[in-house]
Amino acid sequence: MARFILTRLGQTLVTLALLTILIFVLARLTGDPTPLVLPSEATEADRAFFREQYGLDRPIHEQYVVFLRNVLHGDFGISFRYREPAFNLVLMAIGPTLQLAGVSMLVAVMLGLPLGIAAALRPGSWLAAAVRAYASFGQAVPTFWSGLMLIFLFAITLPLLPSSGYGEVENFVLPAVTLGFYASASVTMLTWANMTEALRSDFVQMERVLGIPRRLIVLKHALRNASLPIVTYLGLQFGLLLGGAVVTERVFAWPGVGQMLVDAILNRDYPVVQAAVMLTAVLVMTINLAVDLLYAVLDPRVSRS
Amino acid sequence: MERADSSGITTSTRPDAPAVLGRRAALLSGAAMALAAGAAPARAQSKPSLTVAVGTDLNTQDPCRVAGGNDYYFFANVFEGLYGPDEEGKPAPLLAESHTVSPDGLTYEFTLRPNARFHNGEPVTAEDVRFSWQRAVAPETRNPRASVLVANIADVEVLDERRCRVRLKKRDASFLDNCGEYWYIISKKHVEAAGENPFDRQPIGTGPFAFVERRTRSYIKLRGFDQHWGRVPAFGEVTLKIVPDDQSRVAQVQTGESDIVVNVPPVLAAPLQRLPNVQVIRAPSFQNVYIAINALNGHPGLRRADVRRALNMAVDKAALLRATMLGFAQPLELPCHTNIFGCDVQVTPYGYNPDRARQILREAGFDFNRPLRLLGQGTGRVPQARETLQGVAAFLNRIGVKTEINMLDYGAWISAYGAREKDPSVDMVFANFTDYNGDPSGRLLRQVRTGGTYSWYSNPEIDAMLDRMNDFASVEERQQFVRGLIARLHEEAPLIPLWTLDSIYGVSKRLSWKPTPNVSWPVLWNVRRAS
Repeated sequence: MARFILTRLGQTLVTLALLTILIFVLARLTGDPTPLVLPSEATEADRAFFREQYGLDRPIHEQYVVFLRNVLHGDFGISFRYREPAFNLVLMAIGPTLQLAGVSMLVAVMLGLPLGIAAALRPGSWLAAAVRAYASFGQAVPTFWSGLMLIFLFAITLPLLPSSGYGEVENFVLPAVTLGFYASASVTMLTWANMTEALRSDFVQMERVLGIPRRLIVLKHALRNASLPIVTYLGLQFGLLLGGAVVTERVFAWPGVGQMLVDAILNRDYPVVQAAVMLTAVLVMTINLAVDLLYAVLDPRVSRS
Repeated sequence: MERADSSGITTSTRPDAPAVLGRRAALLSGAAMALAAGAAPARAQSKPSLTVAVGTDLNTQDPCRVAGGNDYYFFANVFEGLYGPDEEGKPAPLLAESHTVSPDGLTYEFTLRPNARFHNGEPVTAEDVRFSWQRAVAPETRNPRASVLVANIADVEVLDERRCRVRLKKRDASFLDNCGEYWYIISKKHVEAAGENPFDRQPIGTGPFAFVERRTRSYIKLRGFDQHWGRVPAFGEVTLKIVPDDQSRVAQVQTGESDIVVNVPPVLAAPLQRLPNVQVIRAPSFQNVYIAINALNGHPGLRRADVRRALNMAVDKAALLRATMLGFAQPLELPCHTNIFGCDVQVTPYGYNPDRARQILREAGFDFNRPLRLLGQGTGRVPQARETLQGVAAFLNRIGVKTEINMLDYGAWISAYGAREKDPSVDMVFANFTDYNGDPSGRLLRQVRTGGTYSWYSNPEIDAMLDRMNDFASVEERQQFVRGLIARLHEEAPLIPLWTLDSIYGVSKRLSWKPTPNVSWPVLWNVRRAS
């Protein structure tokens, strides 16, 4: 087990090192930030000073060395736009994103698991057909549309919930349902397929013969065997939400890291781009590592291989 | 349950919200009130609150580091200059009570209002005026807009507590106009006491609203300043909520969560008008939308003024305005809107005349085989940018001119548009330009003077006129001169002017408000509860 963790950690560190080069070069490919940071009234001297102040006038390899040295000291530089440490800005944004991702995953599991199990238990029934329709709909509908529809239904037509914003418990409902609904479609289908498989397997048949209560068979033994792909999917989806819930964050004015990253790219705010990508990368890798470890717990064969 | 973020005048309730939430919110608001009562005068407590949804966060809280028009929804409410826009958008005395100008136009003597105060309660003194200039020009401040006004001040002399004398290096007829946006008065005591970046934590100004707190990318909270010299707001707490998405921002006023939403796009304004609880209020802005023609190094035909005039004739601007902007803009014939100083000149409009346009191009030997390459911006900063550019291209196609459209993101677009060396492979740029007040010099110098940041045109005769434009002591003489200049520019046609955007606001019917015209940001001190 220890060796398994160490190997995974080593791989993570190599990936991070490669990522610093990639993100550094990609950020600079977007172009010179000066015309976006300074107003049109700025003189040539102002522009030159700005480039000098942030070291943008130096050769790119020198800039990279400085960047790497600073990053190792935990310094991602000062945001061009906000003139605050980029790392602090990203830290402020990562909280709302983690919260939203967590609650959405919960919604996805709470919707997807029971629906998938129910459909697997009653193949060919009207319930299975309804679940199939639900899952197809969930996967087909883009989040910007479902988000706006939810606002229209539950904030405008029926004034039950705030249309956007962050800070109160009510604020979570619409964005979490938007994201959770989308993810729940895949969770449903995965649960359905894997449960069907598990229910057909020999050990379940055996347990039935032995007269073990059906509830116990389904929820304890079959579900555990069906859970590996679902956990994988949830891990991937969680990672995706950390940087990729841009549309939902924008629609609901959620001050998360995805929208911050897109704004930073459009504004050519290199320090924020770098800090946001690095931090989300670290988080995603941590989640992947956690998923791998969870595998090992769920299926002891994994750590042995 | 009451909506905590909504104004006191908003009474919409959510009867089915769980009781436990209601209790929690009540506890929280009770605590907040207890806290606020200690900090603010009791009078502010009785005033209702106001929530305004804006589209972008601030770049800075420092009045010497304003980066562009996006920041003015904050500065125009929290800071003031000696002069600034009145309710009609014309320059009027703000912190100054009165002023005199010397006959040569080089020396201004200002008398400050006796009751002008900073948000920390200190009176505004002549020494603060002098300090505000010194800080604005100090190299270490790195004021990116110092070149416009403050750099031309030779000296600010303190005559007594309330009087000061400002001497200019050279005559600048746009001085008072620019005071409102380029020279905010700040407190010397506050800046000296606060140390480095004094405005980051506590931006203290003199405006009708005082800063309370900010959460980056979420909201800015202000408080109505009851000790203001004259513009005392009717509201206590004001929340500027940052809602970037247009649809969601507009939803804010539909649900009553916000009382005012800014920057309503025309396509959303039309349906909003039909709602029972919302009014759509429009005010002319200073944001012009136009096509800059590359008369420097693009298609050789574009170097001829008659060709550029013909291109203006080829585009049916009125039809385009109806179709793409749904009428939510003012047609534009000249490089500046007629409400800009000196731009009220009578000219013969180009008119829509495609046959005449084609004929002129033929006579001029225009190369129809070489397509015109049009550069546009596609990230939604200008409403209907893509549709408008496609419309212009279609009109040009109609007279036989081939076109190629290249849409870029804002950053790439502004880099190309404002590049020092203009790209010869670009023939026209779809552009917008926001100016900050009713004086034409800033925009013209940047748009049409040789070497101007956004100028794709060069003409020594126009340059000479532009350089003389501010060198007048008499307003009448200057007006005549600017009119002549604008008429010449109309003949020269370095641009295809399209329209001036309206500032469009969605406003709760519970409010009455006349937005300051000619600015592109909400000036909130005169928002009142509808009677």
